[in-house]
Amino acid sequence: MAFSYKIAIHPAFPRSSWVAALSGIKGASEYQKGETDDIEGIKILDDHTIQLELKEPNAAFLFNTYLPIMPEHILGGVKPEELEQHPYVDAPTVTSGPYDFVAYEPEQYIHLKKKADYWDTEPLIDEIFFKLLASTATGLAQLEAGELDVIEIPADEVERFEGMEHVDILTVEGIGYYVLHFDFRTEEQIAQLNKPKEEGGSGYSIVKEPKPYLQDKRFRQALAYALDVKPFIDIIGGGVAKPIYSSIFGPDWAVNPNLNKYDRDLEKAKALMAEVGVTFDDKGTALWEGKPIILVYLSNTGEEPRKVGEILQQQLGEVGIRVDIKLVTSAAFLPAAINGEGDLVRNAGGRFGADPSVSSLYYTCKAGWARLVIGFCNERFDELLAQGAAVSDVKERQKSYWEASAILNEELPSLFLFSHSRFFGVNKGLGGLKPSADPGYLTWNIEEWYFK
Amino acid sequence: MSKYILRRLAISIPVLIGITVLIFIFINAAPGDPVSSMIDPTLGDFSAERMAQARAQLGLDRPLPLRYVLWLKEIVRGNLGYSMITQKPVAYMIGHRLWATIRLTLVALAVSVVIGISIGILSAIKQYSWIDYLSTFLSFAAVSVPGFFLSLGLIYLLALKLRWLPTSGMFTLGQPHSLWDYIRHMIMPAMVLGVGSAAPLVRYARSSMLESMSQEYVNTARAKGQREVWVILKHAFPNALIPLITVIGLRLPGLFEGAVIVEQIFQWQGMGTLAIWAVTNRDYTLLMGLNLISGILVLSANLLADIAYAVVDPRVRYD
Repeated sequence: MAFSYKIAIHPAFPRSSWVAALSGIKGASEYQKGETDDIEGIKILDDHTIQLELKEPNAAFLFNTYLPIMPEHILGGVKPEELEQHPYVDAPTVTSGPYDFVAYEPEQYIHLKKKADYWDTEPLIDEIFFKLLASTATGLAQLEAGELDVIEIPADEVERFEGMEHVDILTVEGIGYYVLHFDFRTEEQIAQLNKPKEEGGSGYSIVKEPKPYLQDKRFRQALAYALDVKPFIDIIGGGVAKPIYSSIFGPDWAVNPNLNKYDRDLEKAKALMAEVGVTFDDKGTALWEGKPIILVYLSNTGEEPRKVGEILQQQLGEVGIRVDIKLVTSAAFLPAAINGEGDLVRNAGGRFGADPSVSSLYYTCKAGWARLVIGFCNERFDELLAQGAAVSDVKERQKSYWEASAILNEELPSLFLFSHSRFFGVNKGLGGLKPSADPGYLTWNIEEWYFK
Repeated sequence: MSKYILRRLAISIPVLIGITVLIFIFINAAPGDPVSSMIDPTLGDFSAERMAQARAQLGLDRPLPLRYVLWLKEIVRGNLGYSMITQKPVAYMIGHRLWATIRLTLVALAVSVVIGISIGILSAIKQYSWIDYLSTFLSFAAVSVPGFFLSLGLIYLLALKLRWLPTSGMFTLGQPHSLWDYIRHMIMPAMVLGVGSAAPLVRYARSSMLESMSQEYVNTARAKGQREVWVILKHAFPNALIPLITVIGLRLPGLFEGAVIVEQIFQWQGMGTLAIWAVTNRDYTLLMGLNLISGILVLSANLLADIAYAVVDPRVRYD
């Protein structure tokens, strides 16, 4: 275990996704800088106990450190720089679950076989293949033809599979969210990002001209009043999803029941826009300083994002706002968002529903989204999120997160739409599946799966 | 002849360098880079500092010309470099996939040659008959229908409705590998690639055959009282073949191009799927390696066509 922690945040891997989560361990920062060879806060007490000492209390620490274990007896002697080229990476023969690794054929499949002497319940299925497919469409065709047993189905394909005799659909409430981030960065914020690194900036070359009305929270609230979330849920959520009013929407204790739900009210929307200084011409077109208001909706390409754009065009059109749709490839998406190519930026996913602390990755002043794209920075919010993570008493945490979600609900850095359910298509011959909300952990109870 | 081949090989080098320079500029001009594609924006966990650090680690903070020169230096030493995303050697990643694509392309080429030439000759012999009109109609249809559409149609019909063939992949998982299983998986992708490429061949074969049938030596053969089948096979066909060889050689790059889409649809693990993966992930080193290899393959296909031309037609001499 100690070895796994040390590898996860070794200086050789600055891109490791564990860096942020694990740097809370005492002595981790010094180790990351290469000043020490050991991490002070990690102690091995006996063969079955490890103790981690943190710099400061953090209730979300365990939640954020779901770290896979790496075998020291195999990788211990390998230089961290050469780790990614080690054969073990393609053939992880040491497993802690009920199955043994047999073979990995890159981009084809991973083959697993039942362990002969598993310590817990003996699994019912002897062999498992994980198919590595290049596109969802291929996978769905294979499910339809009975060539695979289980796969996640996109919401807009659920209806098609419901009609198929050999497929069961399992639905599970998700933990991710579906939102549209506003880009309301000010000229000063953009100038700061554009400053060269030597001068304390980030060295970007963003050319965006800010839209002043977006910086007024009343305008953002007006858009929330202009939207009706139901068509979104029907068309892209497979008909089932939980509307949300801030990014803190789970677990139940963290959900503030007193948030503004922004039920659709076009008159109120127009009134708020007028307060900001928006005028309307005879045809009802919203004008800013005499020119029509046009917002650009930015997303990565796909059928579902396109539909979102069309619903937006229709609904915001009713308050006189024109929406243009801009879809880019996924590698170009983040640069386009940072470059200010969108005013409304689609984002879907995350693990918000599992713990309220996740919101700090998105909405605190230093977070990538808030700083590089949205331009949201609220010191009180940052304080509350830090407080919420620093105590483990649920009542105390609740207080912080309720107030924090009220800030998001009022300021609306994003239009919070819903938390989507996830769907799995399962061949009727296969039973025992209990999908978890995090689709990455579908196999958590794999030893209970069976063929009917 | 060997002098000619050597000269052609020498010319290939600047051509290849030119190709790589252009591609290097284009892929770097495309928005996004390996770092932006490695970050999952839905996880929120990114910051300006981490992105800059990752760029520096991959050497992306250096000026473009310098990066090209460094890449070229390694290529000259026979090193294709490491993938920016998977950290695996590019040569290994491509080598793993190369044969799958070559097999698919060659089978598709065979399909297109057999279909294209036989139908073309048939419609030339039976000029203005219903066979001729039907073949004209079919070849125009095959040219007009996009490969991906034909693929989806075939999957729907042969795999989902009739259940004769698997929808995709290269073999059935959980069963011992067999040649028959491999062939079953190859039928649809090879058909799509082969048929699309056969259509123009039909037209070339038809006109080339018509031309050689109107030559005087064919009339002479007929006048000598030879049987019509013999006249066609012995006298008309070999001469009609000569211009076709160039056409077939020039079809290879097209097949390679078509393989990119077809492999993706049929989950055929060749260079095409790898190329799409590399493009969407902005894996610069892998993309450069892929383009270099396909550039070499295409150039050598052209060279082979030229050599074959000289072999078939004794009148052609390269000096």
